[in-house]
Amino acid sequence: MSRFPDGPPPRSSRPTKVDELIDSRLMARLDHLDVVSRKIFNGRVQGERRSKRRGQSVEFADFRPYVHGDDLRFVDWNIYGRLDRLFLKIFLEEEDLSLIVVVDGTSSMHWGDPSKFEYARRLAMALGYIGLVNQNRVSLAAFGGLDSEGESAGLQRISNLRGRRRTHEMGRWLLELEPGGDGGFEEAMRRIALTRQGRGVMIVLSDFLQKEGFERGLRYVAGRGYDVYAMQVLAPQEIDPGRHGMSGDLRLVDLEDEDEAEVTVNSAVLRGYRRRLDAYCGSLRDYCIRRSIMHTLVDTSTDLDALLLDYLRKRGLLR
Amino acid sequence: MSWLTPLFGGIVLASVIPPLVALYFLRLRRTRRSIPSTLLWKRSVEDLRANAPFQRLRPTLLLFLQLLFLALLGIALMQPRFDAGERRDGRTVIVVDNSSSMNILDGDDSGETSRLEFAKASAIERIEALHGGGLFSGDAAEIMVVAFNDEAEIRTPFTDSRQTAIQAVRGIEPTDGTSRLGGALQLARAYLTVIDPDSQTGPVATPAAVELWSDGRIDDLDEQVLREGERLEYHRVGSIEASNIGIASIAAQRPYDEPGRIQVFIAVENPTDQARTTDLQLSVNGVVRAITPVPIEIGPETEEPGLGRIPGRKQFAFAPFEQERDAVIEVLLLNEDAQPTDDAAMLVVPPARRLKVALVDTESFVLRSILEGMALESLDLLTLDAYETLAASGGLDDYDVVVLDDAAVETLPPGRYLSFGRTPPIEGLTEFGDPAEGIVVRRSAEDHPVLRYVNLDELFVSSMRKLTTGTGVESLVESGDGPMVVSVDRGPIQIIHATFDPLDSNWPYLRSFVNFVPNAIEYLGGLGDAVASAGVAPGSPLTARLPAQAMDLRVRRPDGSDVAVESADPMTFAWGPVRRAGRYELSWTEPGDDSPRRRIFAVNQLDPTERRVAAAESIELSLDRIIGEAAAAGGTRWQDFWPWLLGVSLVLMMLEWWLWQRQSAAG
Repeated sequence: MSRFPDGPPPRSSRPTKVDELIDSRLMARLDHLDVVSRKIFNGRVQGERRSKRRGQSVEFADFRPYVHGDDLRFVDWNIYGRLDRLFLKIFLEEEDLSLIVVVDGTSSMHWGDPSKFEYARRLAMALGYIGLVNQNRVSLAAFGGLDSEGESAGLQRISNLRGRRRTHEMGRWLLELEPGGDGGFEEAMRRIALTRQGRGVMIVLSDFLQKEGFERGLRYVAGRGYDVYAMQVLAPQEIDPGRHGMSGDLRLVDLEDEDEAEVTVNSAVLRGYRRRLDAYCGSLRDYCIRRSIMHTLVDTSTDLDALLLDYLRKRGLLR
Repeated sequence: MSWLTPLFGGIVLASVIPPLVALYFLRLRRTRRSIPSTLLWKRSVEDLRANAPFQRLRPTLLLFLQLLFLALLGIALMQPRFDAGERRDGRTVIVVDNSSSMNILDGDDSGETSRLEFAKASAIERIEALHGGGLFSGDAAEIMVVAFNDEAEIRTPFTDSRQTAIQAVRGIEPTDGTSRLGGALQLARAYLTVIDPDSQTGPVATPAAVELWSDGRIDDLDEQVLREGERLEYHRVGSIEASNIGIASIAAQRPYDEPGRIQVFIAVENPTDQARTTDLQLSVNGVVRAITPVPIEIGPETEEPGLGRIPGRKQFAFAPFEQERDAVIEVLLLNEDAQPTDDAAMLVVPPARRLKVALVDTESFVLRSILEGMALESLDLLTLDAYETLAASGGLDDYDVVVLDDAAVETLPPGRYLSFGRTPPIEGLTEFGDPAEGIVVRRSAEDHPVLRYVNLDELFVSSMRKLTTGTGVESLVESGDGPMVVSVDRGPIQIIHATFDPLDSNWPYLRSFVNFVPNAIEYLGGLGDAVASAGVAPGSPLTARLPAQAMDLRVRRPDGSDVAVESADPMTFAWGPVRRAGRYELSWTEPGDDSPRRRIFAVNQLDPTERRVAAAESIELSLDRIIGEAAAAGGTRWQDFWPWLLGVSLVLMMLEWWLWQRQSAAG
């Protein structure tokens, strides 16, 4: 059983190569998976999946009356011969899927054993790889985090990657992320919503422990064409601190804003904390349900293979 | 359970616990921990505060252990204790009998604990119960410990230290002495007497309780009277059904006409109400020489009007046997009984030799005729001047016995004397008043070797000097006007003295005189022999007259242990008193002769009171009869259990420290 962490994990424990983010064995197993959207979206280019957008395809969808300006190539002349009226044949167009994975890079994620940030980064890499393999349009974004000068980097992103050959580029981008800083969730969600390129699947990897609240941030992306998955990443030491040796008279320091809380940890306090955590996660889950967001709680002690190949398939994110 | 210092412990608790609680909650030392967010923790603590009215008093294990530690410490300081018996303030004298009968192994049911060991254990428990003093209180009972046999010994004067009293009891050693309580009471009273310089009323004895651990077989009970305010408690030790027979006396003699042979006489007593039988075994120098062919029977004790209970007695004479040389004779009773000490008696018999006797200033042809008729090596007739000359030059050492026939001697150098008439100049014999006239014998010690076959019923003395006697003087023949024949034992000086001139009596015409003089000469000559002495009772010193140049004196005890003896004057060697019965061997060397010389002493316990071993249910003083209660021992011994509390609190402190370390390491 891991002991209660005293602070962020050391830099030496962080991966420096793409192979350390995702190994070939996992890649081989992920080759057979695909990201599933609960919705059918338009894409900018013809892709590998059906879209609700009618277009040029072999799969007939419907008819509609011809209006001026319609492409004459899609007029159904047989109907015109029978009814003497112009109707257009409407086909279901197969589009590509837009997959955007948002990683929380704030200080609060840079904690735990295993580290929540490292776990989220590996998970993002795996999901992105699945998207690339299936010719989806993959974008990655990170909020929080620090730039090379140690200043808050704001929203960082890499967009429109497609195809397996972009895997290394995506991995390098993830490796260059430096966790740190505080907050920025709401602003990040707002900017992503404003700059969205088509519709698609959005996966947010965060602990959602935002003191300003998670609601406004999620509201920006919910119901705006994204099929949103909120994956709440928590370390086992957060879920059950008493079991991991948290005890005694402590001065707890918030990693993001250095706020302090003096706590004498005993069984009553631990029980109270568990109640608050359950209530907090419950409120996030309720909020997500109301916004048609799929909420998933991920414990970083869960094996990544098992999470991808088993748990997320059961939850319908992967197939 | 009682508390010795509740106030002290209460004050300590009241002054320590509140500061601990305050310090515990006020202390600023908190371990710093970085966490992702304080969001949920703050809410949890706020919840807790909202729902718990005494949130600050919410206990932790460490606080609990610390409070428990302090509570135990405080309780320990209050000195709780169990009362194992009556606790009494004031003064208590613990008197423990360590006489011979207390060595019997019936102290408890196991049969392996002696009465003395059990009495000591019981007395220690009593001391612990009596002792009211704790570390911080001053009202402890004062306890004095006295051990007694034929002599009393203060083990510790009055002390309020429990450990001192207990150590004093533990240090009491077994002896084979007799029991005499008077000395113990006198010693206790001496320490109880308070002299107030401001008072004109003289010394005042503060009353005290005397607690006696004994089997109740004490010689001088009828001489003791409890004073006003004194209280005696009798803790009976030993079985009231123990039975025993023992040797009452032992004697040996060389027949007058056969000095190369020895005849041994023995008397066995049975102080029980059942007839007993036993075999007797005679050993000479460790070699068994004879065993009685059939067991001898000793009758039960009988009730004699005016004399009380008289034990059954059997006298037995072994057949004479050849023994030219000196011999250590031992007689054993071969039966099994409670007291083995009196089942053996030893005697040292000198070699067959003839004596050198000097007769000083004699006018009695009768006395001279008797001496001339004895088989002596030599008989020298000395004038008074010749005697004084020899006394000054040490020439009297050549004589085994000097006979003073109404001689007015001025000096009495070490030696053996048979004296008639004038009182010899020695401490313990003091003439007083005018001579008594018309004296007849009232009592004589017929068991004494000097009076063997001496019937004094017809003795009439016309004129006799009246004497008072001091210590060390035994009256062998008594008249209504005082002693007629006394035995004086002054170590190097032994005297048998008749306080009248035989010519002033009809004694020269009686057969008893003819027996008395040789008996006395042989008795004194035996005492002065170079290698042997008669039996010594436990409690008496070993005395001997050794050559002036004797050195490297050593005494070997009956248990085989050796002890070196420093003696400034070997001619007046004295060592002791001896406490155990058995064979003692004195050895020494002389210049120019490397081979050690030896003298053997036989110490026998032949006391009739010690032979009566059944524990007495009550003891009868001259005025009071005190019922005894069986002494108890082996109960709980930890009346004070504050040391246990202290120990537990220390363990708690270590546990608390370990937990703190563990939490610190984990944190």
